Amino acid sequence: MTLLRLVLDGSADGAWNMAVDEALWHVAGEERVPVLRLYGWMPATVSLGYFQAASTRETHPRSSEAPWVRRATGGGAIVHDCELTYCLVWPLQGAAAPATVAGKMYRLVHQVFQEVLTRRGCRLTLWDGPKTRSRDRGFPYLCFQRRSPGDGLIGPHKVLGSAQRRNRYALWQHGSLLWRASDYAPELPGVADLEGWSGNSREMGSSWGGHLAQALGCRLVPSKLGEWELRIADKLRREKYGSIRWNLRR
Amino acid sequence: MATFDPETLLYDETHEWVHLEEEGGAKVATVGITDFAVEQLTDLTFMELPSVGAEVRAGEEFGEVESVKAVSPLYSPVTGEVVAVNEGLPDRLEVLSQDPFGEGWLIKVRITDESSLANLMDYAAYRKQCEGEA
Repeated sequence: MTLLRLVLDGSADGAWNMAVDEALWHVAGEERVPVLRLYGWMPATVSLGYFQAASTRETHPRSSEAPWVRRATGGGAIVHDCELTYCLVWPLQGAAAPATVAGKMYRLVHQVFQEVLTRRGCRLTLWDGPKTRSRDRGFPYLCFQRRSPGDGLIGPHKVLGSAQRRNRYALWQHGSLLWRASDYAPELPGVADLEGWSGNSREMGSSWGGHLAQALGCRLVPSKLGEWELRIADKLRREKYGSIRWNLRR
Repeated sequence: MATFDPETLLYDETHEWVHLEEEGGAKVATVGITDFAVEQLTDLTFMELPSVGAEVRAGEEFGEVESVKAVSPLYSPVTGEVVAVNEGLPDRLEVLSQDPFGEGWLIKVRITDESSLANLMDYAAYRKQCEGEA
């Protein structure tokens, strides 16, 4: 049975979080071991999608005051504050159809979120309507105001979204389950707001990780970031995600 | 640009196609992505291509595309120097769905190492690969 490393990480700033995610992606591609990382953000941070122009931050004045970082994955801007954030890296070497694997993974991860939330009485549905297109008028800046097939919604409110990057070696998927609305984006309620839940998202995250491992046919193994991963992440933080060159590249 | 007959092209395993022609004594490859790849990627939203003059190497990334929140690399099937880029394509990506083997071309590369061509497949072999992935 394939092992799935589970890294229960703490909260960190945007450059470090993105650097660790990318380091795990590279290592997963080389060592062919999948990893699931759960983590938080301190301080609250906006992440821009890879192709979003930095200037678009001005279209949402409230969150433009927050620290920000450019992701290497697609999609729109996310205000990372009171949320459950995950990163799943999955080796692709030998996969017959990487694009198909990526599409299935997106759906599967969200289906498992749906199962876990449904058991707790939450009415999460997965969007099966049309995708918001970048050429549409008023294309939203915030990811959680866009819709793509498989996004998780409670009523009209999107609370679950993910984004990906892949190469020939591994798939990198990370995403957010909004738990509570952020002061930087009060128009986006989270699961706890909509369901009237108290408590935080960490316990639910661990439960979700177990169910995800089962759905992937893996055995979940508690793990920590390795020295090699930390060294790669440190380099990526200094030279990429913490740099003006990267963040202002568009 | 005229649409190439897919049966006359060469392909790599990552779904890029190659049309070869001679120009000034050198082989020049027109490179694009196949209809199969476009269909797999579904709704393309962004694309980044290299600049004229960039060096590309067979098997290495030369550009990127985003579709449905996923960023994927474009791999060069040949080694050489980029001599032309389909500059307008990123602003009209629908062309890739309409004419992937013609107006949807990506770059032209003056080949500097012909050994990379040995790894490319003909149409029949490529179609067989696609059947395995469908």
